[in-house]
Amino acid sequence: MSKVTHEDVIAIIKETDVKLDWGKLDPKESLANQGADSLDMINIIFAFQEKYGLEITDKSISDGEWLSIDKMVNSLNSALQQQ
Amino acid sequence: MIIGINNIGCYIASERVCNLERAEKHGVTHTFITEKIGIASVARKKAAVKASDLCVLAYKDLATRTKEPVLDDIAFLCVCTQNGDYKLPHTSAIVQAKLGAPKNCAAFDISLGCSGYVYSLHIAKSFMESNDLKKGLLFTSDPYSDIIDSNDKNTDLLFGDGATVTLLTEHPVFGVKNGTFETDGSRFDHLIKRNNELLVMNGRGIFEFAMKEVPAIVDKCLETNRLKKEDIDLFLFHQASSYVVDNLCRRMKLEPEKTPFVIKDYGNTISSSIPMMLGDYLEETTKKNILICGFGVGLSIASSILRRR
Repeated sequence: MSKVTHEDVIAIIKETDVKLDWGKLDPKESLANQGADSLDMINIIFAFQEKYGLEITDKSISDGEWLSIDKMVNSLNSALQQQ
Repeated sequence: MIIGINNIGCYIASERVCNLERAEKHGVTHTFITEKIGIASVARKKAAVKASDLCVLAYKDLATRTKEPVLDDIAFLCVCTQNGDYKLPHTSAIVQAKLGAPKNCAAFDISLGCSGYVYSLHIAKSFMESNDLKKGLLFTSDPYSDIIDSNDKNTDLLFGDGATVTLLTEHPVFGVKNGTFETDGSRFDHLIKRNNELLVMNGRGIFEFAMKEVPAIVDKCLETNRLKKEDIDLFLFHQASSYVVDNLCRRMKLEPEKTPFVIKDYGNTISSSIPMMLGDYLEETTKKNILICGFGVGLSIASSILRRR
């Protein structure tokens, strides 16, 4: 499977209908600091699980592995490599 | 004899607790409360008021809606609750006494949460039809304020107190078609009140369950009843939160006007949320086919079709 890109992650998030300022999105900054609330994050994580058939653990979320676009890309590629 | 829904009475606890005033305490914004949870205030009963008292108040509302006496020939009385007056006896026996319903009346409780109305409706219908019972009362009453942790934003901002009673007779406004029922007990601890503890909810777990299982069971229910989405005039989903209902609507590509969200002023009333909505459509004759779907505690899910007769 080809590597997950920033564009892939942003496309999945857009499908969830989460409202973010897409033009100013900083991939290094946490999404929580850019307008996403706790329900949005649950929705985004669920969208990743569905799209890639993954099980994303509560621990990996509380460890901060899914906070920013950069981290999401890295975490997805790492999880897919282990599959 | 075919038993169905003849009328519905409702009661919502009169006291309101404003969620916006508690936003800071729970570390959430006003926008989060109004646009995501969608519940501006929650209804709270007084501490001494029990599930059976809420049932009696719902019955009083029913009595004002029916044109003829209801109680005299009631042969069936059921309460769907997981927060009954006592661990035993069953709350339905207490309700029977408080209402002064006849002795020759079958009475039992059903222990289910947010899927409870759909399950109970089918149980009541089958029980009444198989025993030739012509008139029955199905109550939903699950006062969560007794078990909520007031410091837990996941539950304190969501749940409200209320009750409903559905009058079931052989002269129904809505007939009850085939139901579909599923359970995922492996996730039983996602919404749980352990002995001597308060309610705990895994919000992420419940959201994922709803997003995955509701669309699937709705499709299955439609197929079982040989209907298409376009045949349904209303989709009455359990009113978990605005975010859940909105996302179900988006994922299933349903028209928002067919998926009402009505609990802004009183909160999620568990098994009462569907009959509270349904009561508003009893006389709206343009709504012929209504799909109802409840999901939550268990984790349990059920869906059915109501057909106007």
